[in-house]
Amino acid sequence: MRDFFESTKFKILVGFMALLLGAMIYFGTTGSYAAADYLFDLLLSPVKKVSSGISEGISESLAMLLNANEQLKKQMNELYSQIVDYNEVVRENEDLRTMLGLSRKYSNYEFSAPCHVISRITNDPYCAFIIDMGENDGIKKGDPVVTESGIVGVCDEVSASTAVVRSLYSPETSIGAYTVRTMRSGIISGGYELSVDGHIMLDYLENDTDVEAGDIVVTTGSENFPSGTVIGVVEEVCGKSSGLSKYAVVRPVEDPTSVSTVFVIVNYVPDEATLIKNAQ
Amino acid sequence: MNIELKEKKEHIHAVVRIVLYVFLMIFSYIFMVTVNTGYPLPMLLVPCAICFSFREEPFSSAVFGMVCGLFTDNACNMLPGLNAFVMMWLCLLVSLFVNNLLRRSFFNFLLFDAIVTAVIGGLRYLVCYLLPGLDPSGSMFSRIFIPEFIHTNIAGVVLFGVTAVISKYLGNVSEHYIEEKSGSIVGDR
Repeated sequence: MRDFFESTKFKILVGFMALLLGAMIYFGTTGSYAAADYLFDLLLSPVKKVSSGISEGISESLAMLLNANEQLKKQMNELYSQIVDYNEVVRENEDLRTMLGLSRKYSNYEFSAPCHVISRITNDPYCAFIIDMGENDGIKKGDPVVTESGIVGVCDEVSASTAVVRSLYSPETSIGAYTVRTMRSGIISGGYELSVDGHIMLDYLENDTDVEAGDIVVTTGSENFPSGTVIGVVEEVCGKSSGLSKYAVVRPVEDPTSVSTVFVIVNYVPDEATLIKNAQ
Repeated sequence: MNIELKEKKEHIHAVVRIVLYVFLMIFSYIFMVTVNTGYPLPMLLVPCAICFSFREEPFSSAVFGMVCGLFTDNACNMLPGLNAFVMMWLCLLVSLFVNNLLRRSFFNFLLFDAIVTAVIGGLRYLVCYLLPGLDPSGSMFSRIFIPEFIHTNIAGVVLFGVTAVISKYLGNVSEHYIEEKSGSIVGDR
């Protein structure tokens, strides 16, 4: 064992250790992992290319071995590809229709192309996920992520080609919101205890507030956050232990664990009402 | 068998073995980031790295552990290098223990797997949730991290079986046992 610690291999490991420490200090001080994500994408793309190359090679050699069935296979493959193409077109059509609907509904928003959820943060209590678009598609940190139902979350870490979306369940997410029926405003925020049951919280409501179960909660609007976007529905109103204020338990309209396609609001021109509201 | 041919065969076996381990690592990563069951998933990369350390030399084990750690950092959206740093040293220690002091038995694997999983899971809980004050009641620990620990160790048993098969057909690391002094073998003179 002692020989190993005196060998060149151990010195190389110490070099790796220094490299990792340097990386940790760099990413820790900058507070952004975008560069690491970019490197990771760069690292994984050759792997993906190699794996697809291997699978193509295997299918080619199999086709050579099964010469007798070649014609039938070809026809079948053509049919399969047509089905795949058809399904792809149908899906794309649906996405674009949704996007068109959203664009008509919110004329002062600029949406990204439909983004697909490519992976999820492993065992994240707040259900964060990663979408297949990033800075190259005009997405910035803090941009709202929506579906046709309402808000899903906010872009957190943005790299060149991907973005991590923080859901409404996260305690780091706080959005100004109000109830449509009574115009009572508060702050939407998340937390683990509530997220276990799929809820978020409309916090800082006054004690005499007129909010009840069934009230629809929408965004107040800010510089990069449009107003009037649906967040969820109030299920329960509770008093805080301090007795100074109340909070409403809200069920979001969109469940981040089940979404597969989302849109990012990449540009938003606030309307006059929002500007006046923000100025006040 | 000709020594040259034997060395060539061992070299080919080693390359195939490493390729299979890399595939296992990529499969583990893809499983961790794509499967969505609503229940805590096993951190497959941890037992994968331990299985490798259990079968291979210390230097390659440390490097493999580091790469698995980097993948884990990316999968859990943690500070890049943190898990890599810890797993590199833990895998090196496991490999040094197994190559010099302990036997490659199933129970030793379970012990190491449990320790490393607890360290990696505990570190993530500490850095991401406990220190920022996101889990004052400890419910996140009991609902996510304990099931994750159990699932990871169960998955580790499966991975141990898979790597045992790889090692059986492609391995060239010989077992070293410390011979026990026995009166029946070494007779008194």
